Amino acid sequence: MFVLAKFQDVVKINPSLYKNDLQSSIIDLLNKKLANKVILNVGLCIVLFDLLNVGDSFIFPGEGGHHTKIEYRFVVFRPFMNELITGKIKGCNEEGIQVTLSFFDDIQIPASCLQHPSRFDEEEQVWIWEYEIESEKHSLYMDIGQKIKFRVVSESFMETSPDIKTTESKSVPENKVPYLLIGSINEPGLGVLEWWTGK
Amino acid sequence: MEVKNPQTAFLSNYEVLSLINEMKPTSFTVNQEASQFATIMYETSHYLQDFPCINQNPDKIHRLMTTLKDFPIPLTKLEKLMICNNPPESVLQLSLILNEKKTHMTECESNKILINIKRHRLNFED
Repeated sequence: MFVLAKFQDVVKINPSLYKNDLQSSIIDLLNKKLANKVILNVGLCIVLFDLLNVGDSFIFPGEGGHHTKIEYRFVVFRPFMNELITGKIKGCNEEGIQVTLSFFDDIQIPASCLQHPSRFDEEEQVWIWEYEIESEKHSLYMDIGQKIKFRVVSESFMETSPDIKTTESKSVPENKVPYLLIGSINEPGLGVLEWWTGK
Repeated sequence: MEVKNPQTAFLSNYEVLSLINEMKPTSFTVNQEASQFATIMYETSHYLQDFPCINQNPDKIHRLMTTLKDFPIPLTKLEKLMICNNPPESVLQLSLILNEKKTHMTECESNKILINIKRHRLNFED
């Protein structure tokens, strides 16, 4: 679920931070800069793992702060393909189910990847798996808040910086999700945990 | 900012949780600007509380990895990582982790492996 990513960056320390030692200032600044942010094609940054190389600090003319080149490793959330993850159901709509891990919400299980056969109940806005055993039909509900185990089948990164070419006449751009995971529960053993623990 | 290597290593849930627990005391001293940092730390540790990793330690993981070496089929790094993060409790869960490979194992072998893993999982709860 988590990987280590290596980055290289230049960190500026302002004179107000000179009272602290260099290491802790750098750690604080890097954490503040990257925590809870998605880096394109890397993943969701969680926390700094370690500093690999702290270069020399340079002061540029006209400034009081100094700039340091740092090489560091960051803990990043990036599940690998076909990884099994357990999350909680956040919501259901006719397109599928949204799953959340408390720190990451953009996980979707499209209707085509649900257990077969499943149907969507419009009134209660839930998906139901109609499990048939020995010609007896069982309706298994997928309610909000239930723990669900799914397999990661695909991921997509999207550039979400504002588009300069957008003119005023265009409406608000659709919500672009920077990092989206698509899951599937279309296998025996996957889906709401309670379905499989009782059996 | 330059990305030197997007994936230098894989981390187990235990490693991430212990790192977060180490950083926790410092995260509470930061000011409002670091709310994103505090949020992600809290949410991630909150999520990881529900996993067996809260009871793990390096020794137990080492023992589990040694046991996994005796698997009849060689396991990939990712499969071992999945077993460490979410020890399977049934043949069904084991087959999910191993995907297509499971078809080559007899039921007897899979049960033996599950007993071994269970022994280590029970050790996790010591």
